[in-house]
Amino acid sequence: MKRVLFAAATLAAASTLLSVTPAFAGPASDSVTVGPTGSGSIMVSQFRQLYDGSGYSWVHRGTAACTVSTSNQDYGRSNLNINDWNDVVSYLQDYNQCDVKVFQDTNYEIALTGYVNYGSSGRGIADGLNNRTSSYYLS
Amino acid sequence: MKSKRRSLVLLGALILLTSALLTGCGGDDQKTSDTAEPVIDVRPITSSKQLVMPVASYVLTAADEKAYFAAVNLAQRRCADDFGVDTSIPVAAQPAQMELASPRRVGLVDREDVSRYGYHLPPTGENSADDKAGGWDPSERELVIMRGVDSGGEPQETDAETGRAIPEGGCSAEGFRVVDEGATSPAASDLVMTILNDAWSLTVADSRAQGAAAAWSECMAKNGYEFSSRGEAGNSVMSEPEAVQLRMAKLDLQCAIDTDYISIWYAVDKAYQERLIDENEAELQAGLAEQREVMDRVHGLLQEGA
Repeated sequence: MKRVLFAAATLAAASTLLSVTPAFAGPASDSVTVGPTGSGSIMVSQFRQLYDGSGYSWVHRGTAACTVSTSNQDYGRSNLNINDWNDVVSYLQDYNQCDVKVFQDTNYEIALTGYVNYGSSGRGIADGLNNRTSSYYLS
Repeated sequence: MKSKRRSLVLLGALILLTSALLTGCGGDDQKTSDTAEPVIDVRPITSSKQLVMPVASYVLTAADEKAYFAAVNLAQRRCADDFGVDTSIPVAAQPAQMELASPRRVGLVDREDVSRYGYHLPPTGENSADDKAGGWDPSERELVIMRGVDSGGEPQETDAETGRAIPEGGCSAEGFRVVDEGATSPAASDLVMTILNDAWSLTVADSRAQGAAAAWSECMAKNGYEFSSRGEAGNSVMSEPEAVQLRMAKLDLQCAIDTDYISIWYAVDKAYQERLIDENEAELQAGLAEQREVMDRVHGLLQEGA
């Protein structure tokens, strides 16, 4: 069974469990992931490639819900490029009290939005920001 | 977005002819192999509830997942108790993993939902808002104990009050370790997700699916829109007013219905999932057995905590 597609989920260095469903993902080794160490299966966000919900999606899992405060970062991913998810996010969903802040560049450079509550039903990213996300925080 | 019609009929017919030859019309000597396109059984699909993923047989139920998260939460709280912390960390509330995979896997399906919500997912009830009101608001010490990091993101290995070592990732991670014991989580099976991934990749490249996509494109072209794949329709209107989105969603779905797109794509996806299941049956069964072992621990923990 080819497992390379799930490289993002099995990173030893990753502090949260990530899955991509359906997925395409290249080798990943050095993306800095914010969040507590240890794998958990609490879903905190799901990003979709397409507005109609079909195709590829990126699921971020963690060990706890986000906290009320957005002054700290509960989870994050500094470089979506190494997982072939750079500049493809169109639709966002967040779960377990998390909100999402997306950045145009890797390493959380150039915020495209503040923290936004997309909810579990989700919605499309704001006008003009489609296919521009390279890193993100969840809080 | 609007443009002249594209002539895709010949291409679609060629693809369909090729696929017919590959899927058994040639008689008994047309055997499938791991590289040949599998035989498909196309049946009418009118509701996303019919989009049952074959690989779903290898994950537990939504009720099991709910019980699993209750047990994890109990284990997290017990860990916190050992530090003298009465945590308010919430029980996870989220869709079951197979619910994530199926309803929109091939695009819009449900006519009634589309007529009301267009490309948006229908509200899902209590968790749909997910706002932070009444959410988890830990003190600094609770945060450190539960997550193993302070509010500045700095890892903390020792509890300043008790001098005790904090588990790696804090008590939130420890709760998962106690319940999972390294086994496949009932809420996130890597192998099942990988099969869903691979089946999708194979479906996208399949000649029958491509033929249906070409027919759908032709239908959209007749209505003045040029899209090479179904996902482009939604993306083209995502920043438009709701009324525009709704019109596009209805047309998108109508063309999918008129061209059997949904039925064909589901049949192809299902066939590839079944093939991948055959190839990974032993590992899938082992994963399922692991999940059941985890659930035994879940029920034990919940009984103790009752």
